[in-house]
Amino acid sequence: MFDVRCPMLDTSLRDHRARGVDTEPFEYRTSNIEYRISNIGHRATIMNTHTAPYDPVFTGETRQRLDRVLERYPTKRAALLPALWMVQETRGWISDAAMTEVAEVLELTPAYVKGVVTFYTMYHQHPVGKHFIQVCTTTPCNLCGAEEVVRALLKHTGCRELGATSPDGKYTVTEVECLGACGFATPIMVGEDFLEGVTAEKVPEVLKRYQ
Amino acid sequence: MGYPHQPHAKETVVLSQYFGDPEARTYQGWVKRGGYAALRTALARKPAEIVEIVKESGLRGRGGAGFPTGLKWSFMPKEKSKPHYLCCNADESEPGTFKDREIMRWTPHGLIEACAIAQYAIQAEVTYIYIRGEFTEPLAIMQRALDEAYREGVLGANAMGTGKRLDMYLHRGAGAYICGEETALMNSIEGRRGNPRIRPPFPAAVGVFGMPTTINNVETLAAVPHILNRGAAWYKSLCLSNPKSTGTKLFSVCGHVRRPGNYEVTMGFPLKDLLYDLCGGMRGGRTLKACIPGGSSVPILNREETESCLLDYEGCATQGTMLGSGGVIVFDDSADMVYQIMRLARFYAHESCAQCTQCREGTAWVTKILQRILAGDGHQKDLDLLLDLSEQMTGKTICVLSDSCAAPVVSGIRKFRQEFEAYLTGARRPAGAGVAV
Amino acid sequence: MSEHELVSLTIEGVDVSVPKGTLLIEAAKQAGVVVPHYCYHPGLPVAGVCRMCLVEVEKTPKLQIACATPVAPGMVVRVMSPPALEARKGVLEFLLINHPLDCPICDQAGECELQDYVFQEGRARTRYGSFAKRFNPVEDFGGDVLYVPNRCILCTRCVRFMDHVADDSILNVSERGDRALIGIHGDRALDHPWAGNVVDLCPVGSLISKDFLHKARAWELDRTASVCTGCSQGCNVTLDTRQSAVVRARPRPNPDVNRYFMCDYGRGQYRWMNGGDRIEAPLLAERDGLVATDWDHALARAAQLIKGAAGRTVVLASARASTEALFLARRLAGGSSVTGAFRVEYVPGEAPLSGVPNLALRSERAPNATGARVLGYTEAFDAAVRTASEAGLVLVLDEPLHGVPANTLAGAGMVIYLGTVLPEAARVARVVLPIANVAEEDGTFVNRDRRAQRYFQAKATPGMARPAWWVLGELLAELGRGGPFATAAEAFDLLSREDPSFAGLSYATLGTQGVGLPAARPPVVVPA
Ligand SMILES: Cc1cc2nc3c(=O)[nH]c(=O)nc-3n(C[C@H](O)[C@H](O)[C@H](O)COP(=O)(O)O)c2cc1C
Ligand code: SF4
Ligand code: SF4
Ligand code: FES
Ligand code: FES
Repeated sequence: MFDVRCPMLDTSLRDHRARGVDTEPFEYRTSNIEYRISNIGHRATIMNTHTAPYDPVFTGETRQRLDRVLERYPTKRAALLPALWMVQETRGWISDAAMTEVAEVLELTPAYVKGVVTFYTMYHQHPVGKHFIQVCTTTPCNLCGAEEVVRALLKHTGCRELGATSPDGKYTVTEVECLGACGFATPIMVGEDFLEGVTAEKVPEVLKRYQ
Repeated sequence: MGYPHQPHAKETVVLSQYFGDPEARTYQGWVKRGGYAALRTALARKPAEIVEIVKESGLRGRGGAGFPTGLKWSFMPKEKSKPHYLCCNADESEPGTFKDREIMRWTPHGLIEACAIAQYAIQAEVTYIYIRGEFTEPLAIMQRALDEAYREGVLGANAMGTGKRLDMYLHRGAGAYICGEETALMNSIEGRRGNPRIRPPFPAAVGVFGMPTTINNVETLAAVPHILNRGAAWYKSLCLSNPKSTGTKLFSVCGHVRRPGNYEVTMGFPLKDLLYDLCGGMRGGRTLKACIPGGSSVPILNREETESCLLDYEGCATQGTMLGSGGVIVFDDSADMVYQIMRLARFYAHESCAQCTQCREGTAWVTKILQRILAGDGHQKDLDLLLDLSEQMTGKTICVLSDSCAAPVVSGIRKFRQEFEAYLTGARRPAGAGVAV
Repeated sequence: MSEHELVSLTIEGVDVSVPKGTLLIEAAKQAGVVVPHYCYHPGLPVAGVCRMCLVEVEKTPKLQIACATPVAPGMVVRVMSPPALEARKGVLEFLLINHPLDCPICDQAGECELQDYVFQEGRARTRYGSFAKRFNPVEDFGGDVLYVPNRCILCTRCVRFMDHVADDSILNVSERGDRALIGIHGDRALDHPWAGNVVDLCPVGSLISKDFLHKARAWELDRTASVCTGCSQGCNVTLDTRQSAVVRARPRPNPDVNRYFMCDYGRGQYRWMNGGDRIEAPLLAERDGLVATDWDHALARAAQLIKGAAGRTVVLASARASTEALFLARRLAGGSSVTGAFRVEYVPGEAPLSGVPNLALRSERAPNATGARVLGYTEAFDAAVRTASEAGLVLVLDEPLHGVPANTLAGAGMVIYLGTVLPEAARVARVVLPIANVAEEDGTFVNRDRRAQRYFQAKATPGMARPAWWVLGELLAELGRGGPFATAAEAFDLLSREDPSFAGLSYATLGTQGVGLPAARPPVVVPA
């Protein structure tokens, strides 16, 4: 049995046998949802976009989603974080051109948008590997062997160092600060998937799911 | 309940009753378990009455500062002249803390109900639930529950059929610990860098979008429906020690214990029992060395202090630490305190918003000194330097992130000086529990 | 609550009363104490981020930042107490750990607030040791501005200026923690018409002017209060001079005119003040052309010509001439009928600084057009030039005569030319009298809001050139119509006695910030 809990996949869960678990996977989408659970990594590898003419994100259905988000806030600026998420969801990362588009749509300046993008570590300012892997190594997880998980991930993905993308372009492994799941050490994120209880031994098994 | 474990007899299960029960996640399931009754009662009363009940219950903030919740609500203008907002703080990023996540994962409707009551009590038209960006699953579950709540008429223009309007939205963070600080959170909702704001003005006067705002932690709010259902007196009676600390508290225990997880106990519960009984003691038969009882930002306790600490605001203060967010980080005798303290300092250096000089430069400098000590290149005077820098970083900045970085450093040096000395004298060679990657 | 409600408190043992709502840092100034600060700037919204201005407030457990704490009745504030000094020493040490300490090659040295406060209150030695310092390369922000990130203390003054005063958010704080630095969006340059102010606002040498780069060391400069000649706004400026050359102009605070700012166009004005093509001696028309002479001869000849002149006098004046000179030139024409005219360059569109009311680079690009109008000059310049040919006397006051054909004035009775440079058209003059430019004399301009403002002599005049007020005063004295004047103030006194628009004013009342003219006249409609 696969022993890593990943609620977004139809995985069986380690500790849930006693308590009954919601194992039903769900891709969530209704009129009110703007946050979709998906592995952005699957759509994320867009290299060489620099030379191509810019293809706007906020057209058609995405534009409508943004319009609905705007209704929730008294200012346009407040839709900035959601709008950046939408860009990252569709493009895998947030380019300067995309920041300019967001700025235009929300009546901000590109420099302002960039200041915000660089504040939040989850926004990618560069294309990342198909699977963007973040491992928590903060103290609680560190006590439980998180750094071994990092080493195992580097080894099995072929990434030379933290932050670098593997030669096959599939993986980028980074350290991340506390993921808010310290009791389930070691949590890792693969794209938007949140996995718990990862150990160095389980790493090859985990990676099989992200090819 | 001690999710993900079987409930322990010594737990007082209130908030965690339905942890692990997938049916409680749905609207139907929640109603079947008595959900939304408290909201119905609340909407039939005057907002000020609800504030009174919460005041009476003795409920205090579970996000870290322990501020009396009813009192905080009473700071909102009574006469409404502009929009009011409620922000639910679900940014949970304090190392060692993972309780709000379980509340959202298992009882999303409980949180929606709680927010709706608070929102009504402070006369807010909108609640923003600010969820940290990494919480993809809680986010999806909360969104699904919110959709249901709107569909079932709990929220919206005619909330619970009362004709009152209640709106509630999720706002996803994007990777910044500091956005858990209440004013940074408001900036983040407004689409700004998550910089804490200087106070005054306080949020109750000038909050999100410049309007009167109340910010509460997920767990704080989650207690409110229970208080309304069972009465302030009942909540107040949940108290094992100091009457100023009432109710139950979820403790997230992590680190070197046999059964890490969330445990809900009555305020005043002995930390020793939490660790040895509920969590099954140390892993692999090791012995306890140290414990941080309130999330990484509070001073570290040594073994004696841990074993005599009572888990409430005053009990922790007696031991020279704080209850904080209730994130209990446990170190056994194998832990390299120097390395782990460095790792905490590095966390704060990574997360400093960069506004205040002491924090921006100090967190990074302290980290570098600790790394130098770990590499065997430390100087004898480094410890005094660390203490002096920590002093400079305490009580002088916009928010307490800077202080939070200093707290484990100062308490660590004070209580585990011999471990630092070992690196300084060369008695201990570089490379500890963890090796820098 | 009345706006003038006063609050009494004690700062460093000095009792002060200030209006309610005043910030401690401003109240301290009244007690004669400057609280060291970096992010605070009275022209910008409060940020409270540098934490340098920490002071002790009695009965408050923590130190407070003076820049964001309003006064309260009975407050007892200690700026120089040991805890406050210790805290600021700490901030200074933190600010220096990543600083390159490159003062010897830094343009800001000598006027750097980091240098100043470290010297005053800082620690003698750093305890940072051998750690590598943060390094980021110098970046050209475009416009006139270079960014040296290694010197940046992240006070955010520049960002706040662009965001809240210029209303053009093209700078940002990027990244966080000790990686933070000031960023600019790649597609834009710092080319806002008022962007140069970020260089002045930067308390350290992080934002520097390309124009001023390595031109001079701060301590070699002499500073003189002046008024910008760029447009009719009349921004108060300081001219920095070195060896009789103006090397830069910077804004001089004036709450009623330009607050703390000036535009980039105005900054560039100093260049013409250093022009080398100056007339350096009085010239007299002799058989073989204009011949240099001394002042006695030149003044005597000019006085003689004026006395002998009959009929109309035409004065062609520059709107850059001082109010005193404009007044005296008209007076010189005496009883005879006078036509006074000037012309101004109008550049369509103003460039406002949106965060400050009534502040813009105006389309009227001369500093004293209003002064000329108040004194009866008109903009019917071309008509005046045409009448000149029939006039008995033509007096030119530093008007460059661009576009005036060389022979136009040849038919005129007599031309007396007072100027800094000698254009072709002025070669027909019978007397040429070399005068000082704005940087070389004392004088006043009247700005578009009818505010008379003084400017001061910043450098020596070239050769024998003298201020126009002196030259005209000597001539008036010869004619027995006032003068001579030993100082510009005396010339102004005559003006205030004679012209009701200036009644009651003197150099003393104008001070360094100027005052509005007493009797307001209907505003002049400026042709589009
Ligand atoms: C650096 C910092 C981080 C914080 N992070 C959180 C957090 O993640 N979650 C939270 O609820 N409160 C956090 N707080 C506390 C909040 O500022 C605030 O006190 C709390 O949300 C108020 O809610 P309560 O009264 O219900 O506790 C943080 C405070 C600081 C200074
Ligand atoms: S203390 Fe640190 S995190 Fe808090 S506002 Fe200042 S710089 Fe930002
Ligand atoms: S560049 Fe200068 S003004 Fe701007 S933040 Fe840095 S030090 Fe302050
Ligand atoms: S420390 Fe790893 S999830 Fe909290
Ligand atoms: S001047 Fe007060 S905090 Fe910067």
